[in-house]
Amino acid sequence: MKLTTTLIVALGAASLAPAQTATSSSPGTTTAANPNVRHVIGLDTIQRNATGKLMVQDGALQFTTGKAENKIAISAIDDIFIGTETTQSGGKTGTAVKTAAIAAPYGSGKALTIMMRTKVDILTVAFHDPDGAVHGAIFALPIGQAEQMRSQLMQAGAHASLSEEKASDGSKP
Amino acid sequence: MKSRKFVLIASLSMLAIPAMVSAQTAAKPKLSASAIQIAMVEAGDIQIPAEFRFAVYERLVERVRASGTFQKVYRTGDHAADAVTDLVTLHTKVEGFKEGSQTKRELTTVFGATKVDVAASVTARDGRVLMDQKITGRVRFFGENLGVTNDLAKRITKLVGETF
Repeated sequence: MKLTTTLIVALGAASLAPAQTATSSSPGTTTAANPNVRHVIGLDTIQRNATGKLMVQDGALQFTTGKAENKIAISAIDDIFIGTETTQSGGKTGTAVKTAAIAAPYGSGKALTIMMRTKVDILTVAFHDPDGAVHGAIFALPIGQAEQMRSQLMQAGAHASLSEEKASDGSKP
Repeated sequence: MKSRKFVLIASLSMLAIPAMVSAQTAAKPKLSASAIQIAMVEAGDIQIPAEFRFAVYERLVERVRASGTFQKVYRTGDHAADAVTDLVTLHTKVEGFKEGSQTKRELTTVFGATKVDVAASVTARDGRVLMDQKITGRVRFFGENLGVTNDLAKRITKLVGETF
């Protein structure tokens, strides 16, 4: 009986431990990188639709692809908005597959449209450059990660108006 | 006799057409300005997600720059624009927004279009309105809802290019 109780308590503690660690560490860390983030528009040195890592590091929001890097100073951030968008999964390969599927007989290729849907978070960062010019960088992140990134930015000192916490609550699929 | 008169009138009227066209063209002389400042897209009372407003703004800056209509294209808030005497400002105000569905668009090709109606205007430093027009941006078949911002920016840039 005692052994069973000990086992249950031990298993229960073990199952809770990783969840707590993940919860407590996620908003606090300022260096956690978000891989597979798509740059929609807004960064001058990065190509549109380039995929890379987004992280908060050394007082800046940093977006890195294999070829280029862009930094936005946290102090230059004026506002942060979160929205959602339904997009096509599979990147460029997905686009090619879907284009080919258009030619499928009896419109059967349209089934792919439903299967290749994926919902993403849209993170919009409004910032100004040293001349005061306003910029807006838009990123597409895996669903649920924009809020985490926003928290990290706010903890690092970025300004964000709480009244417009959600830019768009959910775009139609 | 009657047929001769008809031929004469027809010939004269055909000669007059190019003259009328050139007169119309002459009536709309292109304006000139060395620099333009793109103002942030105003939403007014319309509920439009922030990413749409910023995407329209960014695409406008990008497209107007690429068009080569102006020597300099400034963003809103840029202090460097303060010294430009013949600066004009492009204002975009959202008057309507309908967020569609990409899935519906691709499945039906009839429903699910995303649409943004805006009033685009260009003003001079003294407040004179140099251009004022209502434009609609749409994404009908393929692409994300955000694609509407590209269509809109393309149309506005074309209009600005026709004016300047």
